[in-house]
Amino acid sequence: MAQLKKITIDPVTRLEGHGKVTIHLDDKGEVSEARFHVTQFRGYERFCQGRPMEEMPAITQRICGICPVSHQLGSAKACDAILGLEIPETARLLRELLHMGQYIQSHALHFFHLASPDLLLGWDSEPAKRNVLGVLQELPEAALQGIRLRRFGQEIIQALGGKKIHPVFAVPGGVSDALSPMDRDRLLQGFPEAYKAHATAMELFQTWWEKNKEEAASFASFPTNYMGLVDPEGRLALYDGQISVCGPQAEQKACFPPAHYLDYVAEKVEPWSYLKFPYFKPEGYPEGSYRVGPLARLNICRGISTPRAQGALEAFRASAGSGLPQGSLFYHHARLVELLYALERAEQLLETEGICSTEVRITVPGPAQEEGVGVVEAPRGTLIHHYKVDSHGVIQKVNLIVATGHNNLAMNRAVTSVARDYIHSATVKEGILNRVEGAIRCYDPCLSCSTHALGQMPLCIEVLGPQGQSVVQLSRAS
Amino acid sequence: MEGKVCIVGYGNPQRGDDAVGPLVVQRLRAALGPRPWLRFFILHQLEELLLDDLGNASLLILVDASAQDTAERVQWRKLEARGCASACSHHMEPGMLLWLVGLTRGSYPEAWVVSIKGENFGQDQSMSPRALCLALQAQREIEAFLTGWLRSREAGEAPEPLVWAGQKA
Repeated sequence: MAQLKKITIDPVTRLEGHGKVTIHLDDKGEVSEARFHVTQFRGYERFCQGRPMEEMPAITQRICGICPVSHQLGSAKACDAILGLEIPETARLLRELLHMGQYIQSHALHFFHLASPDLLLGWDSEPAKRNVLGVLQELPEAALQGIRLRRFGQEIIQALGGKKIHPVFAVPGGVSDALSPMDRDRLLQGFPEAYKAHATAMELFQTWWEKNKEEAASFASFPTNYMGLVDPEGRLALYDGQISVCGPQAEQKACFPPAHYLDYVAEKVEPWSYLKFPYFKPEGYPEGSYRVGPLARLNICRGISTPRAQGALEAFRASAGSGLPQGSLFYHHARLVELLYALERAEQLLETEGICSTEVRITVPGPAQEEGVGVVEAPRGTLIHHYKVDSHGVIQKVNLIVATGHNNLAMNRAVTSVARDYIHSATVKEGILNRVEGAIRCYDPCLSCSTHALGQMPLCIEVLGPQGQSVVQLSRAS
Repeated sequence: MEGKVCIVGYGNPQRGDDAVGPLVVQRLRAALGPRPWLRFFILHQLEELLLDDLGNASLLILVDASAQDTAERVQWRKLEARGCASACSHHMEPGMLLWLVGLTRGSYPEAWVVSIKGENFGQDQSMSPRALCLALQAQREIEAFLTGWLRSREAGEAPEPLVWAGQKA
């Protein structure tokens, strides 16, 4: 048995929220199971009860400061469904544009701030340097490009919603304001530089991938199902579409309207985490594990509607060889493919005739039905808002399933996979903490979103012996 | 003139006197009007997104509320670049911002922090009468400082920008 020890690593890690990992050993000291615990408490589903439905897009976007747009859109779509509305075409385009702005800022944030320190500085580099500041020191021009790219996404959001975080825009029945021609023209000028920043990110990633191909492809790799929205042609869809589920061999297992999600998705509660465990209902728990987010979306789609992103998708698939990419690090690559799509799609939308039309909202006197489901693909994965209201439109019940929840089982498997590589005979190899974090970070989990609370994540790992005794504790913050 | 002057007011308008920095900058903007060498920023908090805008600043003035109990109600502090080990992206110290400016452009602007003492930081959209008075005082001090600074620039007295020495975080 390894000696009981405690390693403290500062600073805290680059995830949103509080969590810890416990690794359970069997009698031989081998890893039997690893658990990623989310120790924050959620409350939104409860305290939204009794609120007028119209307030929901504004309330629920406060769940998260990174993806408020997704919550706002999911919520507005659920309200549209309750009101029985088909929103004006311009409103639909503007909502999608807002969504693309968020993808640009969120994916740029993740790559340059959260993922790139691991990739560019190395997992085993000094933790105090392994952050965006370290990247700024090593590659100042690339880091500045990343900052500008993120800002470009935020400028799109601000032009539409008045604020770069928590914008006021999507409302039941459409959007609150039209896009001005001046803002459209100003935003269109930003694309050449944004594409350059994306190219820099892709080049940095691919250089790293070439050097680390072997480990990268097999790191935290395991077969699962994948889930995400697709358009009527089966292509990548981020704002609207059908929910598609495919298996590890790319075989389609289901494709259904979002409103039918309860026929296919169920949630399991485990006593050791506040984050629920959604699973693919036809296969049961935990066999019905699935993944969402960039990797899942690229694995389920038949293609991408924009030309450059389609080319990037083909390169992505080629990098995995035969079969679907299953390794968790493919998430980073997939995120960059989607970032390119978001740029192309935002440009397309801004160039669409009628994008500055002022017909952006319709209203009706009251609910047409008592239930509504709104689904969008948030940057981290499928986001479901499901509301039940009374005849006056007052919220009676709320169900929110967010990306980090969908990925919960998969993150636990990723952690288990890494732990099995790094723990043998109850001896913990150096570097496990960095790798476990790296595995979780691939999924870009937002624990604040998934439990709807705030915080940073001083990740703590505890290795437990067969009788539950603590063998090793590893943490970044004492 | 070469370079530019950037004045940044930051604070949360939902938290009482924390809004004093943005208020001062709002008033300065109204009082001084648009000038090609002068830029104003109003933010909730300092963030790395400012780095681009500060790229060719010669003078940086940060205006913030202070909860510290100091004798001076409006306190001026010459800012020194200070890299810190925090990887947290939600909060950035003024010294850290300056350090990043130096890192990305190779030199620092002259930088000052103007701290205005507040007494109410609760969840309140109104400011205390004292903070409102101090906002006016700070505004006048900054205007006077700018006048003096511009004169010294015209007289060729302004120091050369400090060269970034590559301090490590």
